[in-house]
Amino acid sequence: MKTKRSFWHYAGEILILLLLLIFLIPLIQTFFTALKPDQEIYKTPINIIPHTYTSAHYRHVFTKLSKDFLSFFRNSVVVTSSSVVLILGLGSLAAFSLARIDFTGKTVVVFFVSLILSVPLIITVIPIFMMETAMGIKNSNLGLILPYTAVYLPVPLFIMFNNFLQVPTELEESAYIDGAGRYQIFLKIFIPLIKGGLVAAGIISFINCWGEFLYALILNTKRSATTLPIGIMMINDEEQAWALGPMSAVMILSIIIPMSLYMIFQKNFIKGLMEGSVKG
Amino acid sequence: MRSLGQSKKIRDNIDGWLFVLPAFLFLFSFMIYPIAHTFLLSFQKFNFVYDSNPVFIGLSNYVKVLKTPLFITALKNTLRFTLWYIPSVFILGFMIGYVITLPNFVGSRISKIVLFIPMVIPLSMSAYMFLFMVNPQWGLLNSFLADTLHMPMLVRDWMNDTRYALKIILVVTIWQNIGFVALMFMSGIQGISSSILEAATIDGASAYRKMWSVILPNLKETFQIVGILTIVTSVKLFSQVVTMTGALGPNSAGGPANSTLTLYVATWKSAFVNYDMGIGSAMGYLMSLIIFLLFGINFFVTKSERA
Repeated sequence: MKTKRSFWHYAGEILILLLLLIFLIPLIQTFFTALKPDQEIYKTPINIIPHTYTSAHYRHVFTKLSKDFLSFFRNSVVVTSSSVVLILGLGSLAAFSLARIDFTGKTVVVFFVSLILSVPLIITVIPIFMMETAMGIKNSNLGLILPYTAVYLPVPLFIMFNNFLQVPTELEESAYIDGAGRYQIFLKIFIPLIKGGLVAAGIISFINCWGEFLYALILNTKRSATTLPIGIMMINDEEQAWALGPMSAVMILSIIIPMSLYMIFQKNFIKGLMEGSVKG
Repeated sequence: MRSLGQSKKIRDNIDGWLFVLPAFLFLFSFMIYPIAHTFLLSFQKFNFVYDSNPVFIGLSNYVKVLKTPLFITALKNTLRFTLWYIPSVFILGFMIGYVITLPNFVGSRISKIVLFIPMVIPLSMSAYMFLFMVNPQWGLLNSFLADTLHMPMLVRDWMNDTRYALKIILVVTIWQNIGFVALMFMSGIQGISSSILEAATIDGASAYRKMWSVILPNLKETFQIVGILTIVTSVKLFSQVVTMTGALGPNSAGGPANSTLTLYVATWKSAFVNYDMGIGSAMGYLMSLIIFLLFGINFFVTKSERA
């Protein structure tokens, strides 16, 4: 069965691997800069791979920058995880209804959900900014969780919607005959059947919220409520020169969680991306 | 029987809305209502810091915005970026998607894993990664040009040069999004039934001929989706610009000399640096209008290819 591979075939594959390596250079460079002593960072010609390794930059992050960094990190964790939970909860209920219940006004809901995907979000930020100023929830984690839940709802909703559509009707019907209520059917039959879709929706929401920039920039003016994507700008402003090492360490620490989630649930992530976008 | 059907219908309506309601409330308060409110604000004079109450002034905000040279600069930059971004992403994304779906390509799994890595990194972080690489003194790019290629005349202060700053931002944006676009092409190409391709091979079609007569015409839907995605990405260009040019505070964002000032950044500046909500809202709506115009062009172009 195996066909003979020619020299050119191998050459092509090595070329692809090389290209992938070049593609990753920004990440590789950041990873090694975080481990390089300053003498090597600020010296030309630059070697990507260090001659000697140091943990000085990571120690700097956890000593001198620890107050800022740990608070940014905590805010990111709180805001992201709460938003993901809300998105999955509200989104799965809505997706179930749109996919499985026949009711009037469905098209209105679908229209608004799709509209959000194409409108530039800045036109929503202006009133939200005024609203949150009036309510006094600017500069708080809640002030970000609420808009994130709304903005990042559509794609996960479409993913779960697609998954609900694929569940065969017989299962649902037999449960109705057994006298189960709709909420029970949703929770006991449908949710376990779309686990894969839930994971995909969860990861995509996590990555979106973790990296969100616009709302975080506008709704937080105080350091105490800032999340990592904006926090890194503050750290950069403060450190000014000689900051490449600590900044690289901060970046590597900031991407560890989303990166490991991606590596673990890579298949769900890719599947989710496709289902969410084709529908949207 | 009719009454039974009737009551089921009522039940369905109640249940349907009950299940949708929590999500809909969120969407209403944080998306639908704000979008409507901004529309109203775009006809009002309202500075968040100076004015206590908004005053209705008709179309004045729109007229004022369209007369501002800064808005025209931002519009030009955004369109310039769009004209660079869309073709590069289409060509690169198609090439990658095509190679990965080749039947005897071994590296497809590892390629996919690697290509999606940038999507997981927050945009502001990727922006910093590139900003450090183009650092004039200690950046990898200049060191590569001067020390490895021995061409010191190519060395630049990239982000402080009006000719290059937007192009560096273009590279970051492509790096971040190429995986997703390639994925769209991959699934598009996989969607073409293998029997059509086999038939073409049996008929003796050359690879070139297969590409033009079988693969490309069957990717219309993919072209349309990728078109929408790339339009949205290029018009919404924002975080990369603020991160890479805003180191000296919000006023420096969009520099040097406004060469990276995009519509989004200009809107943000008028609403949240000058706190002029009326002007900001009008700019936001003009930007939405541009997005929908581009959607229209995209629809027209992908449709006419059917002929």
